Amino acid sequence: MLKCEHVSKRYAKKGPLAVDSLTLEVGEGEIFGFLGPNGAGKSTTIKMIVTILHSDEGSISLDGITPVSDPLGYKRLLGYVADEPHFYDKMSANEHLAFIGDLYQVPVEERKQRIDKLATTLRIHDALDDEIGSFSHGMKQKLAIISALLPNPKLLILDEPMVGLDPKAAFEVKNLLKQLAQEGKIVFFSTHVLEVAQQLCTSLGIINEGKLIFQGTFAQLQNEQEESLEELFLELTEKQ
Amino acid sequence: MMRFSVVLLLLKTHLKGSKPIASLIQRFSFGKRKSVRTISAILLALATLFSLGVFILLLGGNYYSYQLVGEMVGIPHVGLLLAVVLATGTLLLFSAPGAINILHSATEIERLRSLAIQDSELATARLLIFYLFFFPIYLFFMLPALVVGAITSGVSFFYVISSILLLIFGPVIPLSIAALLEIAIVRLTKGRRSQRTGDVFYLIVMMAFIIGLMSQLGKTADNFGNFQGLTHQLAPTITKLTRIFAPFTLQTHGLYNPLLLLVWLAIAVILGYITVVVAGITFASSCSLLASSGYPGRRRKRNHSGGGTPLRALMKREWAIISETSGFLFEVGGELLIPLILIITYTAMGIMGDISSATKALAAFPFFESVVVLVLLMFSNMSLLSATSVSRQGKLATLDRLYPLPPSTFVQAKLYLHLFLVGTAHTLYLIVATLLFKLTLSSLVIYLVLSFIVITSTSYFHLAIDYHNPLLEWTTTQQAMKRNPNGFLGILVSFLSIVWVGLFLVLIPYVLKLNQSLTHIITLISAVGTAKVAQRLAYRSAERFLTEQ
Repeated sequence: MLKCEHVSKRYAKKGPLAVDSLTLEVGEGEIFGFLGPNGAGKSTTIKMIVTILHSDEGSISLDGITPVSDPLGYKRLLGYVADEPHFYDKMSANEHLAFIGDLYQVPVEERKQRIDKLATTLRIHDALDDEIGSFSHGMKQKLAIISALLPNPKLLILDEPMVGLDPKAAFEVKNLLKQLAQEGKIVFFSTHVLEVAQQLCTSLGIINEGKLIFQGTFAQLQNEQEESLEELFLELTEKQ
Repeated sequence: MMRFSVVLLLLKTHLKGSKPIASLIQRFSFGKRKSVRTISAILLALATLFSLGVFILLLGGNYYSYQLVGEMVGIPHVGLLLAVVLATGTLLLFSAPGAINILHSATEIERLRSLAIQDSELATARLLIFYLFFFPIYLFFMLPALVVGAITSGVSFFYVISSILLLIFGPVIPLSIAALLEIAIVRLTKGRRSQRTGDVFYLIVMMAFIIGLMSQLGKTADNFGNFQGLTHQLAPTITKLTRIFAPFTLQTHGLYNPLLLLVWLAIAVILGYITVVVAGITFASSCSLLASSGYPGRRRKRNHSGGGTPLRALMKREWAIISETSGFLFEVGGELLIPLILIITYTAMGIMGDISSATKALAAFPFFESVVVLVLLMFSNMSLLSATSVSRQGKLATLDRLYPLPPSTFVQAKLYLHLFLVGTAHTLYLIVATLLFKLTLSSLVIYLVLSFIVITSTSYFHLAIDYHNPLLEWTTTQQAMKRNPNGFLGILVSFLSIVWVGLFLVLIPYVLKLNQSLTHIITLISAVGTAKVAQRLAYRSAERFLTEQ
C-alpha cells in the first residue's frame, strides 16, 4: 500500500504551496491515474514519492516503509519512469539493463527472462544492442519501462508514460500495466490524456493548485451524471 | 554501510555511458567520407598533441629556471614549489565553478536517485567522477615539474614513488576544498542561484589573492645590476614565496623526505575522507534544493513586447544564452576583463608608473605603437565567444533550421554581439593605451578601425569553425566552452590572424622601409581582404549547418 499523509512542498519561501497537504492511498492491484492541469503539482508529488524531492511536511510510505526509516528498502520497492527518459547515450540498451540488473542484484537467468519477455512485449528486442543515443523518444520510453520493471518492483510510477508512444506501443503499454495490476502490483501514473485514464484506471486522483480535489473511482466521480470524464475534470478544476 | 561495489559500478557505468576519450577523438574528425574523417582526426589529434607538448616544454623550461634560481639563492625546489602552487591553484579555479554540475545537478543524478542506491554511494561516485574529470589538469602542470626535479636533483626509487603519490593524492586537496565550498554555497543559497553566487565568490577570491600576492612581491624584482644584486634581490622574494605557500612546501619537500610525505598524505586523506562524509550526509538535501530551484518562486516582471528586427531578436537570444548560464557569463566576463584585471593588479601594486616609464624607453622603437596594438588585439582575439557560439546553444541549435531566415542573419547576429562585447572592451583598452603611451589621436582612430576589422574577421573565422562541427551534446558548460576543441582551434586561428596582421604592420614595412601612412593603408587593405574571405567561410559553413537534413 502506498500512503501519502499530509504531504506539502513549497519551492520558494514566500511562494505558493506546490503541493498542499496531499493525502492519498493506493492499494495492491490498483491502477491509479493522477490527473491535473499543467502546474497542478503532479510531477512534484511523483518526485517526492520517488525521493528526488524532499517534502517539507507529511510522510510517504510504501508497505509501512518510509524513505526516511529505510531509504534503500523503500527504493527497492519502486520502479520509476520519468516524463523525459534520460540515459547514458553512448551505452547500448543491453549495457544499461545490465547496469540496472547489477545494481538490484537480479539473478542473471531471471533478468534474461524478464528482459526477453518485456522487450518482446514492447517490440524493442532487435534494438537492444544499439546505442541508446540512436533511439527515438518512444524507444527510450519503452527502455525506461523495461528498466523500471527489471527489479520486479512493488510499485511502478510513471510520469506521462504515453507521451511520444505510437498507438500500437501505447496499446502494448496499457496492456502491460493491466497485467502488472493483475499480478498485485501498484501502478501509479500521471497523464493528461483523459481517455487513457478512463479506460485504464481502477481509481483516480485529481489535483489542482497543489490540492487533491478528488480521489475515487470513475463511477464515484460521475455520481449518476451522464457526463464524460473530460467534462467532469473541467468542472472540477474550474470550480477552484 | 557504503557498498564500494556499487560505487565502482556507478563509476564504470558513467565512463561506459559517456565514453569521454572516444567522444573527444570523434570531435576531431571532419568530413563525410570515412578516409577524410580518419585523416582529419589524426592530423588534428597530432596538432593538439604538438601544442600540448609545446606548452609542457614551456612550463618545464620555466620550472627549470626557477629551480636553478632557487639553488643560486640557496632555497631548493623552487620550480617544484611553483608547479605545485600552479597545479593546485588552477585545479581549484577550474573545478570550483563546475562542482555544482558534476556533484549535484547533472541530468543523470536525478535518474539515479530514484534507484536503490544510497546517497553516500552516489555522492562518492560523483566525487570520483569529479576527480577523474579534473585530474588531467593537475597532471599537465605537475608532470613537467617532476621531470625537471628528476633532472636537477636526480632520480631515486623514493622520488619515483613520492612523485606517483603526489600525482594521485595532490588533486585531492584542491578538489576537496572545491567540493566542500560548493556544498556550503548550495546550502547557504538554498539552491537558488547557487552557481552564480559561487562564480562571483570565486572571482572575488581570485582577484583578492592575485592582488594580495602581487602587492607582497611586486616591487622586489627590479634593478638587479649584477649577479650578486640579482641573488640579493631574489632571496627575500623566494623566501617570502615559500612562507606564503608553506603548505605547498610540505608537498614539495615530501618528494624527498618520507616524514613530510606522510604528513601531507595524511592531510590529503583526512580532507578527502571529510569531503566524502560531508557529501554523503548532505547529498540528498543538496540535490533536492537544486532540483527545487528550477521552479518559479517570486515572479519578475519584464517587458517582452518585442517589436524589433530578426537580427535584434537573435542578438538578444545570443546574450540570453550567455547571461542565463553562469558558467558562460563567467567565462566571457573573464576573457573581456583580463587586461582590466592586469591594470587593477598593477595599479594596486603601485607599479603602473614604473611600467609607464619603462615603456617610454621602448617608445623609441619605430614599431612600438604597432606592437602595442598587436598585443591588445591578441588579448581581444583570444576569445571563445564566437568559436563556441553555436556549441553553446546545445541541442536547441538545430531549431534554427526551422526559422525562415537566411544563414547570414544568424552569423551577423553572433558577429554583432561579439563586436559589441569584445569591441567595446578593446576600444577602452586602446584609449587607455593611447593615454599611457601618449599615442596620437590619428593613430588611435586608424588602430580602432583596424582593430574592428581584425576582430570581425577573427569572429567570422571562429563562427566558420563552430558552424562546421558544433559540439551540441554537452553536460557541463565547461565542455561547451573551455573544453571545446572548436575553442582551441579558434585560439589557434586567432594567433595566426595576429601573426598575419603583424606581417603587414611590422615585418613588411621594416624590410621594405615603408612609411607609416603606406603601412597603415596596406595593413587595412589586407585586413579587409581577410575579413571578406572569413565572411564567405562563415556564411558557407552556417548555410551547410542550417540546411543539413
